[in-house]
Amino acid sequence: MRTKLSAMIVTFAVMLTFQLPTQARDLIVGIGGDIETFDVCCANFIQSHHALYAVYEPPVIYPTIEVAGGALVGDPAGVVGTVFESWQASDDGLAYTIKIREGLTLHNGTPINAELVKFTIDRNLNAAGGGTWLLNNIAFVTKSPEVVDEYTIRLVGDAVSPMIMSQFYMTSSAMLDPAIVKEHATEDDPWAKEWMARNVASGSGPYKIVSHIPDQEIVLEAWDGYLAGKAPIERMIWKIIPSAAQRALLLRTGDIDIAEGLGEEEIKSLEGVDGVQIVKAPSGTQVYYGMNSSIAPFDDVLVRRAVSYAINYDDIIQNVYNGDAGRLWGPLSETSGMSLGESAGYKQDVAKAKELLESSSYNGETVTISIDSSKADRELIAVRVQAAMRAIGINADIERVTPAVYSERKVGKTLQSTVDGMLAWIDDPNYSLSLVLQCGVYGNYMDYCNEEVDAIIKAGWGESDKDKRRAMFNRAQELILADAPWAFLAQPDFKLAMSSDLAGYVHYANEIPRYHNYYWK
Amino acid sequence: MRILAYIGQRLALLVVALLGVSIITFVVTRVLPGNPAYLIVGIQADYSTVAAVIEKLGLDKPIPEQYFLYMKQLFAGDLGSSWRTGNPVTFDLASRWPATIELATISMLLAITWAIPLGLVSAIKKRSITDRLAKILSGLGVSIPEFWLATLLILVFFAIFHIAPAPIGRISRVSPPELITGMYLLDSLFTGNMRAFWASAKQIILPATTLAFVIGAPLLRVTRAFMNEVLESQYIRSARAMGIPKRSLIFRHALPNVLLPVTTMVAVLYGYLLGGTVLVEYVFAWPGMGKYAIDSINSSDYAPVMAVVLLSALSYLIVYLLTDLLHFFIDPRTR
Repeated sequence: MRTKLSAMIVTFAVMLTFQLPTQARDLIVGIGGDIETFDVCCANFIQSHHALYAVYEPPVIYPTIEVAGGALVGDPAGVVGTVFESWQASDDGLAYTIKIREGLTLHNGTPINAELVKFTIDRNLNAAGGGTWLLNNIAFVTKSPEVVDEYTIRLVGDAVSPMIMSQFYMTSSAMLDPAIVKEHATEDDPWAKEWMARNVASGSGPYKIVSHIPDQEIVLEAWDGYLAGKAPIERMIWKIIPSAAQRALLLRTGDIDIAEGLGEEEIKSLEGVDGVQIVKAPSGTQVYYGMNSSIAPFDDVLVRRAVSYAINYDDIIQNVYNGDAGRLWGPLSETSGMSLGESAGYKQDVAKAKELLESSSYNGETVTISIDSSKADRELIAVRVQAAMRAIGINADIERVTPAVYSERKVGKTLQSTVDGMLAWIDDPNYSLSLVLQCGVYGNYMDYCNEEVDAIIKAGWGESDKDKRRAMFNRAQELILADAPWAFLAQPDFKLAMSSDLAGYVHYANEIPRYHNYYWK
Repeated sequence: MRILAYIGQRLALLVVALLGVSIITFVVTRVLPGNPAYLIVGIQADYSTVAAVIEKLGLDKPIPEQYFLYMKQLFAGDLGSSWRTGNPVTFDLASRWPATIELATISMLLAITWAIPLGLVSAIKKRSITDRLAKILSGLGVSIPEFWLATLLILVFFAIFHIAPAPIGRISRVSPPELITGMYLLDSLFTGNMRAFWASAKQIILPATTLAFVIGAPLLRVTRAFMNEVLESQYIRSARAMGIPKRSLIFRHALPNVLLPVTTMVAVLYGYLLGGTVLVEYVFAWPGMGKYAIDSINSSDYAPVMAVVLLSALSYLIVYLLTDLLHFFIDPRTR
């Protein structure tokens, strides 16, 4: 683990060099729902993360690179510092000495220094939420950092983690004003979570919130003091428009400039429209058909394999995603750079599927495919899986349930089977496998367990040699593919519809835009 | 004095009805599957976090105890907090309910304006062009889904002819007026902010027209049917035989009797609108109670669901009470 100082300097210099003059035209963004919280610790809905990245600044970022097809993406190879200037790991990889860039402030002028960063990390360790989970389970940090000097902290992990620095790119690690948080803390709420949910504790990001009318609009204005220079677009208005069809229509008529969260149908309707561009980027989203390893008939691996061979994957890619998706070949996304790809994945082979089913314990019972009613593409996939299963002799019913019921049953591991998707916000095999396919973990909704896979995940955390790591996770993929807890369906591209006058979109692994990148052509 | 006793009795019944509604809603929301704790914690969580959230929300307690605590909190004026918006429910409702009242009131006024006169004329001039038009409109009104009509109006008046503004909520391109009642039309008038008034008026035209057409249809049908019935009744025929002029026959003798069922129908429709109109709010991005309720139901966000149901029930009951009081003045038999 070496210091990434040179890369950071280059990125920072590039950010400053390409600083465009402020542009007066407002950016009108159509989003599907309101911001549920402004507290960096506890955002669950995607639109909240949009706002948090606009007003708060995490200390690291993935540097921008251009990939085949011309898309700008955050390089998954590793993060570089923004608030953090540099970092140095100890020889045993447990401790990190982090140097904070001098001269930075929050929106209210409070200097960003070691004490402020320590407070931010302390709050994440104690105010239960996504940040706590990341620090404890991904970075293996449970202890408060030590302040070395005014601009240096020392962070010590309980175990080595290859993601200790990359997890800082999440919104939960954004800089906060300790004085404001303390001012609003109470005995019952020592980290002021209640107050923070509805207020901004002086931001640190490129934009400031000027007004917020619930369920209607949020107005943001560029902050002069942003560390990478004032954002090119002076003012943004986020309009809350729940209907995706209306967002598409308003983009078509020029009333909004970006339509967030459109489905495949709306995107298709906007292709080729004058004044509208569809920005595409490879995504780490994995769409799968999960079969619960603890519930019959899917407790029999032969049934799971039979289903994996029965599915017409091309049909899903062509007709659900209009061809804008890649095949997901296994448990690791193609964007991770660690996937075994076509060589190991399942391809449709109905004869083989029937053969496997005949030799399995399947006794003809009807199975249930449960789907979240709020996800438009799930039913389109579920009917195709249902048809594929019927073709080999398995009858399946599709059950649509509300998000709350779906979550409860998913976490309770009581869904017999489901069409679902996941996006690992850190595109790393340790991170994604430990989240969803490790024995007994919270997110392992299909109750899959393979002790050898677990051992690899555990060993992977401490392995820094890239070749060894690749070999370990190749083995893990082979094991998971043989066990077939999921039928690995597709990896749909990320697509964003926006005005053709707009440029600068950079795609990050978590698919949340950083609005200071946008500018008018 | 009799009227005061009557009002007192009705208010007491209103409290009983609200208690009943609160018990049913509370039990149903708690008994149905969909524990919100799993949505609150998100994917990056563990079972101890879920348990902690369940405990914090009080969902680990028996339902009667949960209900008792809720009612205690309610009587203290606290409707609880929404985990989904992060706000106290009173704060959320303070912005959403006026939006719903404003849309409901304008829609109701528009519906009354077109449906009642048309219903009366169509009953008076049977088999005329007006009568045929009324039949067509009432047929369309009860059969066209409101979200479809809303989309059609947007396509025609916004996307094709560019007459209507973009369906982006309550106001567009102008700052909202200073907050007094939360109803933009009234607030902009009170503050003399005519720019905001016109901007809000333009935004409300299409959603209000959609609702006015849909709720106007049953109103038209009721008006027409009862006017027909009254015009064919014995006393009107006798009056006509006695040579009473047509104008007097209609306005003095027939209309007061038609008003009773019509005002009841208006009350039913207005109560329905005050509960929030989900689909129209959704299509027009109107930040009202209907959308808030549906989002809350989908997320098992119990406190807003309870509040919206109670508020809707209260709206219905108050509108019915006012209607009955109106009947007290219109119909001497009820006194």
